[in-house]
Amino acid sequence: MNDSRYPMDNQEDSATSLSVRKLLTGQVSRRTLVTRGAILGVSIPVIGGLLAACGGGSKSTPTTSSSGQTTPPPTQASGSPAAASTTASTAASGTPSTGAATGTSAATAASTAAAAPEGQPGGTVNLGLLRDPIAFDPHIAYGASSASLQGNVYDTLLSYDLKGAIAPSLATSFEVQQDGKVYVFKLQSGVTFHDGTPLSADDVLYTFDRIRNPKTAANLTTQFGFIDSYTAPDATTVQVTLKQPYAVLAAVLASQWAYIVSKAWGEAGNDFAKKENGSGPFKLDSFEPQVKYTLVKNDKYWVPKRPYVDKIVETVIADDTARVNAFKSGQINFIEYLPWQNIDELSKDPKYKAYTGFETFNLVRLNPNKPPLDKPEVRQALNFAIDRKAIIDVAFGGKGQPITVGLIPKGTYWYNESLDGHWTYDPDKAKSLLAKVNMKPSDITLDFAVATISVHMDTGQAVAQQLQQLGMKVTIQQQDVPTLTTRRSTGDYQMMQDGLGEPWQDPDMYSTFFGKGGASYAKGVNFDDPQLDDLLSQGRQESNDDKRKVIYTKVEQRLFDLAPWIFILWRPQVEVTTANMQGYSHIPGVGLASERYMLNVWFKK
Amino acid sequence: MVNYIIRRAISTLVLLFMIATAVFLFLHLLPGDPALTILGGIDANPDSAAIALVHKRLGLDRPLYVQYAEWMGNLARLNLGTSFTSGTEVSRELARRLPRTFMLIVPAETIAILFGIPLGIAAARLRRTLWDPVISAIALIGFSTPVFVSGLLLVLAFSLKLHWLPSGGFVSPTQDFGGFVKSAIMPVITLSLGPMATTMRMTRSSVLEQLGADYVRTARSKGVTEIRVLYRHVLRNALLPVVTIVGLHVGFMFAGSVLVEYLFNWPGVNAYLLNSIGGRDYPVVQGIVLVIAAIFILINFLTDLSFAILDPRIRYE
Repeated sequence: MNDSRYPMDNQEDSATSLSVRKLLTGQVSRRTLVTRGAILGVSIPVIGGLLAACGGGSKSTPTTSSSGQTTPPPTQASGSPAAASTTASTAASGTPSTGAATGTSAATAASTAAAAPEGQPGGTVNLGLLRDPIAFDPHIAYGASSASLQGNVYDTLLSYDLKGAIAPSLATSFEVQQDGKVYVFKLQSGVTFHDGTPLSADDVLYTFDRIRNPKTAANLTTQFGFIDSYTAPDATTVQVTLKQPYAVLAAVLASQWAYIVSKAWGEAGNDFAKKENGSGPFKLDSFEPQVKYTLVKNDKYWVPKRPYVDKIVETVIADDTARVNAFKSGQINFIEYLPWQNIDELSKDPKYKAYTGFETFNLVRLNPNKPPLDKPEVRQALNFAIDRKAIIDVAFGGKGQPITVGLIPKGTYWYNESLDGHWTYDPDKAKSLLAKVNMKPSDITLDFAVATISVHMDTGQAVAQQLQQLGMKVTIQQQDVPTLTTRRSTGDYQMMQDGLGEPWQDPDMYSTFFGKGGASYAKGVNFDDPQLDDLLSQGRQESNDDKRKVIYTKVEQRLFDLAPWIFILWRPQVEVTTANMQGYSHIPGVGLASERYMLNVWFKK
Repeated sequence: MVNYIIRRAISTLVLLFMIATAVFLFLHLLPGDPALTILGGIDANPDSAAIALVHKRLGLDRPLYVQYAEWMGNLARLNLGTSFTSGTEVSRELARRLPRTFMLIVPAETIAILFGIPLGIAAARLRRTLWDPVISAIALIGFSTPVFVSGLLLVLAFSLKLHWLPSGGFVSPTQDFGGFVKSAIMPVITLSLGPMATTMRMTRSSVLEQLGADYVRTARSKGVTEIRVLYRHVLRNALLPVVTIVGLHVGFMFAGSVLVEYLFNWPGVNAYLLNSIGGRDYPVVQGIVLVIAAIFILINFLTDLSFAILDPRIRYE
């Protein structure tokens, strides 16, 4: 059996994230005020003019990029404009806004919503999934495939717009009070769950309870641990009080593990893993486990005129070749996880539209409990011993980007230019680092666990080869996914190939990996650096963006010294659709979880 | 005869018992935790408390012999258990999936026989002409080409280039028979190539062997035409080994259809088995292995019975 054709594939928590919008009352930095002013100043007349010209008909904002429409995900389009405390602005992803005033963004939100090109109703999205969604629990991390299912069937309080900025969803607005310790959310009215029950603040409270309940095994357990209490002053308001200022809350509540569920339905004893009752644009109609899942349009969805399409049929096609063939032969019109070998071919074909992002990354986990990896110098040496460009060429045909700093993507606000190019290919430096601890490359023997997944195997073999070239002894242990996940959770490994995504693009995502008890890495190997924890804690509570950025610069510098992983490359994440499919966008930072936004998809006839 | 059948039935039960025990032990000794799949798989990082909860829910925290006793007890009542991941009954899923695999295996074996036997006879008759090596070469190619190569070539030609057939997927014959046929043609042909080749080779060599026998010389000297010699006398004897082969084929096809099901995204039993092993879904794997073993044993039994029909010298006591 060809190992690379393994069904239980990939790794990556598809990154859902974006620039963190810092919300504090009364604290607007000069930069953002100017930026926003400029945007408002430019956008309103432009949009107004276009509206006047085309009378709200077809495409008002011509774009040739694959981002397609400028329609943000659910924004109240009628009546009172959605007054989001976070601006659904057109700033580049990663640019935070420290604005707070609820008023200024109203105009922008309303205008962008009104400017949305009209999509035509009808049609079916036939999506080819790589992995089986496994089950329907909205709070458990099932991996990328669940975004296309749970993400279209449930809603979150906050969401993302097409640029990757936080946008309103079930919460039409929120205010941050008391220096970031209290958040007050106003809920959308007129929302019903699929069974007809109306949404109220109680459902939000119930959702939070469920996430905090250890029996749920929710993915956001740690993050909700920063919440002290929450109440519903009235049926459309939720007030959340934090233990300390927590800058990440908005990103957490917009993530794909924070879906709001129905209290009545949950208390009636319904099994969240086997059935759904969300408020989202689609309903689960029928499914066969591991084979096919059919979603149908929710006619009573609270965003007017959405969704456009009638159905989404998601078929699991685990084999890469079979999936590509199904796409090329027309059986599916939306393919995810396009193998890199097909990127050139399909992106150049005018029959299709390709969407690319680099939110997921490959790395090698190192266990600092297992000598010789207990010495930071050795771990640093490993990072200098590999030629990232060569690995990208071998494993991804050149379609990838090396990681030279850390997990903050280049081009985002939080990226620290001064640290650029830290990790390089420098075998001499590697050797001198080893010499500092009286070791030579030939003294190093490593057991390297690699999963039988093509995107892992190719990378892992390339890494092993380069380390061997330096003189180290590296033994690859190829094992299947369940074996590796067990070893990973118990820390029973020395080196392990992995591929991950960031839960959100707020730089506090570092906590989930390297903070003490961080579930995605630190916990399994008891990684614990007090200096790093202190910095991370400061970063979480700091409200000023510029000061935060300085803190995270220090975080990354500390990570240079600690080198808990071999940081390798950013992987290309590509979806392709037929050319007549409009409205899909691979949202920067959100990545593959952009499949949550099928409500915007429509077919041009 | 009745005694024979009873004895076979008992040995079948013993065999199935041993298989059930073996698969149970192997699964539980494999590294890898079912709870991790349920709690999300490779992307999730559940903590040990959550994992412990799942273990309790699935009964995995009990000692091995207790779980084994439960498994055996369920089997006695023909209960194959419930899937860890989907919570559906294994027997229900099997009832859904098994027919689909048979929809590939039965037509494939039929094609293999329908083409293999006549071709084998032809090759035997034409043994001293140029046709013999040609037919043998075709058989060799059919046998040696890996399933994913022949399958992909078919997909390339008929699906991607000509757009006549879908590249994969399953359409239920009750819902859309035409669609079913279209989706089944390529996987069935792909699956049939190997068995067709071996059937052909086996028939050919078996016929040739019989053609050298004394009774053939007698028949010829009596003035029986060559055709009649072949079809009325030789074939019955020559087919005995072929019948054995057919029984073995079905067993091989269960294994071979794994690749075909994967390549053509055909949701049969083997794809289910593969996914469930990957998810450490113990009840499903145990159930499938047992059922396939039972089918295999049954087919072998039927093969043996058919010997008795074909060859009057064979009688079972």
